[in-house]
Amino acid sequence: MPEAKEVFSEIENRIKSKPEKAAGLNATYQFDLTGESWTLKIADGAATVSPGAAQSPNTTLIASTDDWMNIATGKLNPVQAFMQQKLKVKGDMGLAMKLQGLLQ
Amino acid sequence: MTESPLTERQWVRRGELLEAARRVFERDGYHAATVSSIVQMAGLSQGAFYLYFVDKKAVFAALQEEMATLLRRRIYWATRNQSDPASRLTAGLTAYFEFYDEYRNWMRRLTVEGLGIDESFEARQVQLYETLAGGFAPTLGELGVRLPAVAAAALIGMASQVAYWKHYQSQGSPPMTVASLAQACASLFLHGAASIPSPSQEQGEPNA
Repeated sequence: MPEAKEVFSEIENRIKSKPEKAAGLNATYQFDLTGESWTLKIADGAATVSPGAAQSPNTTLIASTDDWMNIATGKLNPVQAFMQQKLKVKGDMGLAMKLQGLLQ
Repeated sequence: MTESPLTERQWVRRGELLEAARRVFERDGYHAATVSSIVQMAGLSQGAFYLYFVDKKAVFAALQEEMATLLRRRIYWATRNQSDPASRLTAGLTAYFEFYDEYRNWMRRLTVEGLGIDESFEARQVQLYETLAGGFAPTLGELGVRLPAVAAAALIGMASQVAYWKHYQSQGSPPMTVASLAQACASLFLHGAASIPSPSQEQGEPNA
């Protein structure tokens, strides 16, 4: 299985190569995984990823690293993960749902 | 039907309906499945269904898209770090067979009924096959295969048929793990049928 860093880099690269995917989206996501946090900032179709927590995230996604990696790599449906409480969301749920499109 | 961005509750409801629909399609098949049986499986009202989908055809199409996304993502992540093309080929086939194992009843319905439903279903399925073949073609090119696009299309067809055989036709044949099936397919494809390990070499392996 890839590492979390690879998954976040991939999201960053996808938005760079297809900025229309994030058009009109301005948001800061924080990912609280097992023993690590990551921040994804999206502004005007550009994305930057950095390790660590965000100062004021719009949305925080909380999951074990394994569950998050399973979601990102297609082994776990995000809605199923949410319903099974493997994925928790704090803050703007609408932004969390938009993230699903960025993973495709 | 909901057109504006979904709320959290709507997102979950839609997910519940999709999951229920998949189970009903798997159990009853596309033609025998009804909106009533889907909402009954989901424990929701008939009205709730029509907030998210126009009809049975629409929910099947949404499922087809969702499952295709999961499969594409699995194969992508299983292969992206494999620098050796032969290992990449086997890793991609392994991801395909793992997915088929997990969603065998859905995949069977697609194989048996999907292409016969109508042109839109066929178009989505063709698009998935083309995407998968497009993903495998560069690897086959690296392995020295001529006409990699043709070969990749043949590979996807072979993998689909072999997976169907494993689950629905292979009664009496020695059980094969997903990994050994992927190895056999890669070997068959690259080196011919005589290269596949004999069943005796598979003995002792648990069935996946």
